[in-house]
Amino acid sequence: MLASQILAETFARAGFWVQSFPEFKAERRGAPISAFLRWDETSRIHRRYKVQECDVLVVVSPAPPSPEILGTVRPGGLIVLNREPRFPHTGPFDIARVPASRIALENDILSSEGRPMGNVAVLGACVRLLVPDGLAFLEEAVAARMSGAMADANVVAAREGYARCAKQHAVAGDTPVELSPGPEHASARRRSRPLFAVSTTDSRGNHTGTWSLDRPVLTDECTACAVCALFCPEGVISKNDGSMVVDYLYCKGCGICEVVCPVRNAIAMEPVSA
Amino acid sequence: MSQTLPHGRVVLTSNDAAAHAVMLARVRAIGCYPITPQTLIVERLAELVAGRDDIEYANLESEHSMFGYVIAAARAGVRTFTATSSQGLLYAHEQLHRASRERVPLVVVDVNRAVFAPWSIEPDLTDSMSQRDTGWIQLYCSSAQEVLDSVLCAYRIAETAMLPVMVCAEGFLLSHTSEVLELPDQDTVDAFIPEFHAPADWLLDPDTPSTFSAMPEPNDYYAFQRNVAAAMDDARGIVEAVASEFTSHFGREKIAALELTGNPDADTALVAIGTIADSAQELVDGNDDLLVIRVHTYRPFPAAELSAALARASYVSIIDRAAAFGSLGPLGADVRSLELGHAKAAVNFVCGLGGADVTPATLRWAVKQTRSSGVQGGLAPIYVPEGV
Repeated sequence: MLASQILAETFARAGFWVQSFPEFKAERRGAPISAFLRWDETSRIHRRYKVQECDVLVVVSPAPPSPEILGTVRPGGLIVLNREPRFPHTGPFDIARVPASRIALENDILSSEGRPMGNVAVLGACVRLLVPDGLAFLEEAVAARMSGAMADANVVAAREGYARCAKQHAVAGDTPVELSPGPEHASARRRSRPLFAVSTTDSRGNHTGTWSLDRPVLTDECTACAVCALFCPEGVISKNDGSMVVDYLYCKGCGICEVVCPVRNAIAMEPVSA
Repeated sequence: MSQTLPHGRVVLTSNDAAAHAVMLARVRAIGCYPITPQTLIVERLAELVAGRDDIEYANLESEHSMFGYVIAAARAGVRTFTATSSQGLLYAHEQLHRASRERVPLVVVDVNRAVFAPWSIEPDLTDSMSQRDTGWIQLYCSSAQEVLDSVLCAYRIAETAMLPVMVCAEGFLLSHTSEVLELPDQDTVDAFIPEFHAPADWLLDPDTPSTFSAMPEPNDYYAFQRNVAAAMDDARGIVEAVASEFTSHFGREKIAALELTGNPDADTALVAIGTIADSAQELVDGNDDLLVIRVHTYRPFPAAELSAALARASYVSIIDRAAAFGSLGPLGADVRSLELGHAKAAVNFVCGLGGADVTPATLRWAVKQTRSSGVQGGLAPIYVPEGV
């Protein structure tokens, strides 16, 4: 949300009319969310409705985008990824990569949990690709929305992101992205909707695992004592055939299991993208 | 966070714009209780108020208490602010009746959110529109600039009319949407909003003890209600005069009751409120046969202005983003109460509940239905089908 606001402010400083808004569902604070940005050269933006299709998809999270999200990019559009290795897919769009998490690590831009925050480095890449003369405006927008050492480090990250982004070219072996069949799913949901406000969806369809930035990985040291299962607030750890299993579909990555685990090195929190 | 307010051309959300307007209006008492999507207003105010001993910022235990707090603070003679949404506003419902009947010039921002059940944090106008008979002046906004300007005007309107004002802004569509706006400086606002001087016989003053709102005999009760009705009628002129003064003082147009765009002589008119009317601007582009009427002041209802604006329209589509089960939608019922004998059809549509998307395609569909209905419009609204 902050990244989208900073980019909006960058475009505004470059003379555009802007409109930026987030989309929330039931996420808690700190979870990755979607945010949208419209910009217009000539007049105030009157469109007060959702963005269903986009010209530019910016993925700040180091996790690769889902087919559903990729399917919102219009043919001829641009995808900007926070990613060092090639994205081994191709489609009717340009793909650009920027090693934003690495840039954040290099400049010590970390969340309170110690995760690299690549937001502003990704914005540096966006500015390079969308308003090439706009790096100074991005630096001003960062300085306006942050303060002290955090602002200084992010101004450096903006420059690094600007310098270190590159478009990738399709090569043999890239798989075409599989786009999800949206409308049919929606009409099936309409048919199965109950008469009363009991629940409009099966809550098992709400994959809260997408909120997580880190996930617990069990090592060979695990003794299957099941203390983690006892403390897991989501109830996603269970004992199966004498060993512990984590259901990543619903694990929110809170890390309580790692803290309560009585065995040394039995649980390691690893970034979801790994 | 800087204690000095920025000014000039800035990028802010409507929630931020509301918080800045409250500071610029030199509010002295702020009552708070968090609720999405309003929470960011009181969070921003907490940052802006930090270290100031001339402003009391109170966290209350509920919205009901919060309205009690601002009512009491206002009666002690200070300018107040509070903000809420949805269930919070509904929980405070009885205090809303009290505030208008005690003639308390509160200014409140309601960030519109759908009402339970089922749960939703998404926008629709049912929360505030269902409070339309509580005696509050209601202003519905369609941009962050209008939220800022309306909060500033609201203090002038409230303290002149001695009635509470609710500034309404749709959740997310406005509250969390960053856009470009002009933020005035403190001196310009000070020259527009004078200090609040409450009428002496209304003020809670320990030196002149009085009993307020105790049980009167029926004819006195009735007379007090008539006074509120008369004050609401007078408020039409006050809203108009304050908007006109704002426009010349700040050099930026302030809408009073209605905003008209398109061809005023068009055969087809679309009446809407809030952001839907902003999206409807897209229908006006390149269409000479459409008049879009955005209702900004919903209470007191601008009946005369609307009748005049609709005098030449044969087909009228009235778009509600609120439900009033068992009747036309709130705006639909109000517009249909006007003399529209000349119109061939005046059809009320309900759409966008709980954040359901309302696009230009939705509005084009409504206009087409109105032109092809061949009936006056029916006694029930048309609920726009899903996916239109």
